[in-house]
Amino acid sequence: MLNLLQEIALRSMKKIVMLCCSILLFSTFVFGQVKYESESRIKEEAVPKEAVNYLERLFPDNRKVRWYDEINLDGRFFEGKLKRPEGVYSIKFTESGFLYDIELTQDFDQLDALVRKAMHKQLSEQYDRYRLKKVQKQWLGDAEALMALIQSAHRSKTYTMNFEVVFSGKKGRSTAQYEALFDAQGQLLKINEIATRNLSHLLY
Amino acid sequence: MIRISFLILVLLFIAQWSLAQNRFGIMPQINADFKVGTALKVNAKQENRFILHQNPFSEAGARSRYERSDLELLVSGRRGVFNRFGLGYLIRRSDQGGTFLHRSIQQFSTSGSLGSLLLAHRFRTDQTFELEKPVKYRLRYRLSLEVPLNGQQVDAEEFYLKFNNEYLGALQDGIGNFEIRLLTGLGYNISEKDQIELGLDYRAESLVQDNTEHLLWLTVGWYHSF
Repeated sequence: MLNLLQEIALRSMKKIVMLCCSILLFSTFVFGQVKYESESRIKEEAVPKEAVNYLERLFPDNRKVRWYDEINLDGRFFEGKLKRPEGVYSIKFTESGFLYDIELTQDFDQLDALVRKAMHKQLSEQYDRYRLKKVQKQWLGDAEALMALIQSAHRSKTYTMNFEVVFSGKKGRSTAQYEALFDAQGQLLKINEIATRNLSHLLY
Repeated sequence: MIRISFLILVLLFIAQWSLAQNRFGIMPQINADFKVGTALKVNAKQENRFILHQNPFSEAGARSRYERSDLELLVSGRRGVFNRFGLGYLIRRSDQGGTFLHRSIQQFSTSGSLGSLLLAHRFRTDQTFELEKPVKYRLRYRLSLEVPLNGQQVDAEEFYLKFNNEYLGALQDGIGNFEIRLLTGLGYNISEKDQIELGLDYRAESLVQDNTEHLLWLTVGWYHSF
């Protein structure tokens, strides 16, 4: 009798473990589709020296940099943000102070007409309706090459340029906010849904 | 911004106590919502009021007493990412003879961001039904503002400031009235599903008539999303 009970308990346990594993796997899959990002303001002293030095060299005349500690699904980053006449720069560094990417806000109209057309075409194929909220140019590549590019518009082959676009899109009855990444020609590379906050404390 | 709001509240507080009719108390609320399918969301709010001090006070009561309890249910649907339409019902039990009040609510809300600030506009109409009283019609507009205290957006385990400013026009038995509400609060975002808030809610009621009443509530709120 005792053995029978033990066997039933063991079988139940196995089922529960399998169920938990399935839920975990499923939640990981779902989570992968959603952009998760958490950032908090930090003082310059908490940022790796390499990152602070790079920004000082990039914009020697600019002292008003806001630093953020950012955690997303790719890891932990330090991000410096500053306003310039051409837009807002977001310069992201890895935990050890290496340059990760540089982003600059853009008006959609500033983009090349062919790029805009390509973006519109692909978004309209995927969504019934969409509205663009924010566009950023993104540069990836060698830190010194990007510095030369921004300081003197000197182009080298050691960088990649993309466009990061935040938009709201409607598919059937479902509406959500998304972040899309396009290459320099306006070809869609990836889309992530942005997790929206619960705003009950402001609406009710 | 914080200093100005604080100064306004202090001035309002002083003004309140220098006037004849006033009430001060505590107003705790629990607010919970859950989704029904992909399109609808139900929000339930339970709010109570306890008066700690009032001037003047009725001959039957004391300066401090329990005042009322509200239960509100609102079903809303999304139109776009930031716009919501809602219909609701509120039932209120007040200590004045244990009477009940019923209210139907229609709401439209929209939200958006302005840099790191989060803004929400709420437009409401409601109709209040009470025994032996004419129906009361109200038109309301509320502006809400959330200011993150750490970083550019409010993440889990971070504090934020909240400001509300609401204007209410009322019509009952052909007589119109007006009310203004101001709230400033400190919130803590425990997680994406839970927030707790502590604040001061100032209300100037019956502004059109002579018997203007000033109320100041210490608000304590818990918001949970299922």
